[in-house]
Amino acid sequence: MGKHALIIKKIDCMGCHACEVACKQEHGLNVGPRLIHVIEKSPDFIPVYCRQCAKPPCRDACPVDAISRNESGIVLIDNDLCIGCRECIDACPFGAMQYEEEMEVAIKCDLCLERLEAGKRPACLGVCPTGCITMGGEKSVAAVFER
Amino acid sequence: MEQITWVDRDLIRQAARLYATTKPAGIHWGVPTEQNINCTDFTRAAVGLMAATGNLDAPGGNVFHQPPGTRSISEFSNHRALAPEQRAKQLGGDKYRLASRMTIITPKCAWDAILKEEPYPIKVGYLVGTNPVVSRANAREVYDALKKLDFLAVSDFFLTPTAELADVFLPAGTWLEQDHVADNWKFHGYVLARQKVVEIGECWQDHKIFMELGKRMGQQWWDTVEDALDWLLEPTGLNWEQFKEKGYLKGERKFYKYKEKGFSTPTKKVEIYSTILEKWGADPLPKYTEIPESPVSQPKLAEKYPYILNAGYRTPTFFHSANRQLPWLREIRPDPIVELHPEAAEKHDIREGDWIWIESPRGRAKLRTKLNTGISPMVVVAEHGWWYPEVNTPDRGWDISNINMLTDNSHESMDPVMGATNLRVLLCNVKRCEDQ
Repeated sequence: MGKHALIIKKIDCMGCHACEVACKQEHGLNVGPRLIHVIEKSPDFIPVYCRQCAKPPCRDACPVDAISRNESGIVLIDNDLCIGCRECIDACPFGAMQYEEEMEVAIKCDLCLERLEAGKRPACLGVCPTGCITMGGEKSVAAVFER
Repeated sequence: MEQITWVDRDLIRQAARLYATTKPAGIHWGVPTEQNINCTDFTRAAVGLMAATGNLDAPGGNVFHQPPGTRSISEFSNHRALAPEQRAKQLGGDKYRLASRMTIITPKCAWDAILKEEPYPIKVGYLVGTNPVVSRANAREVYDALKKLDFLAVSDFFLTPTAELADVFLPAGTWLEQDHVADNWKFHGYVLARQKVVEIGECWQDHKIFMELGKRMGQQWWDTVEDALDWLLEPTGLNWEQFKEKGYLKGERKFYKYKEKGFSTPTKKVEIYSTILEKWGADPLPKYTEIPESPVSQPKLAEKYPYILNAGYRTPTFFHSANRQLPWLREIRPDPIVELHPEAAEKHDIREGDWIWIESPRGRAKLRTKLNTGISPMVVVAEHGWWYPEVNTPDRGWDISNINMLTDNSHESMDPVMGATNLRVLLCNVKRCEDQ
């Protein structure tokens, strides 16, 4: 199985933030952590999200090996192992690693693993009205832009 | 046209040719063209374009959809039971005649009746699903008017600043808490079965509130909402239970209906020259009227208020004045936003993220700056609908960031036949807040 990651075609993002709300709902998150986040810098919209890196800096920075990459290339964090040191948050070049204040642990996008296993698409992707969010590997990136 | 709109003439030509040569083509228009003095004339001009290009009632163009044959909204709400002498009291009816035909009363006429008691005093009010102290022009006047009423009842989902002014508040059922043939009052060509999935506390749907209120005033209405919907659906041959099973009804799809029966005008033609407006003494041809408060119409005032304020910035996060109390949405957009061009901001020593005062001859509001190179340096674009649910006083911060503190609702600023209020365009100035 090839690498799985979100692909966001930034030019089609209109800043509706529906992805953020769907993500919060799917993961039952509090105010604070945003596993997908759109920054508004008029007239631009900049999506911030996990790239599921092949050599994840968050994993390399974790002192307790709480972060790993599964066979589909999805980078996951084990919240039982996480000690809440925030090293991974500093290490992520995209600002995608988030912190959950109440549980005092780092959390991240798991690409809606449970939904994927049930044959569904990630929550953010399912609600995007412009269809700017897709999912796939490197080959799919080329396909998105050729369309 | 270039002079009025500041849009390059070649772009206007390009747009006109694109529309005229694309078959079919539709024009979608919304509130910005309607919330100003040109409401009626713009709409008539747009319909004229649809007609001239052959897109009126054409497949893929602007279609008059046929309703699916339920009883009409005026039958359902029994408009005709209103006695003619009562109907004659419709506020602004003789002034805003087009609005009057559509049973619309421009809010300014209601505030005049409460505050000036003209043409007669209003003492009691019942507001349903509306938050006028935030969403209507010249908010200070709206607030004073509602305060002056002897009795006010408000029905809404949440305790808005308007609801806080009420003597009686009725919690309304949301769309998930009501049964209805939705939306039988619109001309979409479809109705859908909106089905109640939950009943929370004492919330009633609007229809039930109105029916029970009517009965207590000695009128005859149905026993239950289901009875009402059975009657509404009767001509379709279905009752509410059967309609719920089916889920939807569709009107007959038919195009170019005017070829058989003409249009609903006195001449049966598309009236670019309106014989009705002519009869009322209004200009029968659509034209552009300069906005009453603009640098062109009021150059003297523009010296003190040099910017053109667009007071209707919408964000997809909120719906008008709703949703500020929802944590996930408020997190996305914690503060009211005003957009300035970086050149304008620099002139006033304003930086991205600064709180600024926007001021007009009527009042001021405090919003947070977002710089945008995509707007003209002469234009200021402010979000509307802001109040602060988290403010724990009854006023709920209705007058802090409310852009309608600035807007004008004078009769001179309104569309002369429709009474459409100018919620959009006015003159303003900006100033960095001392307190950040």
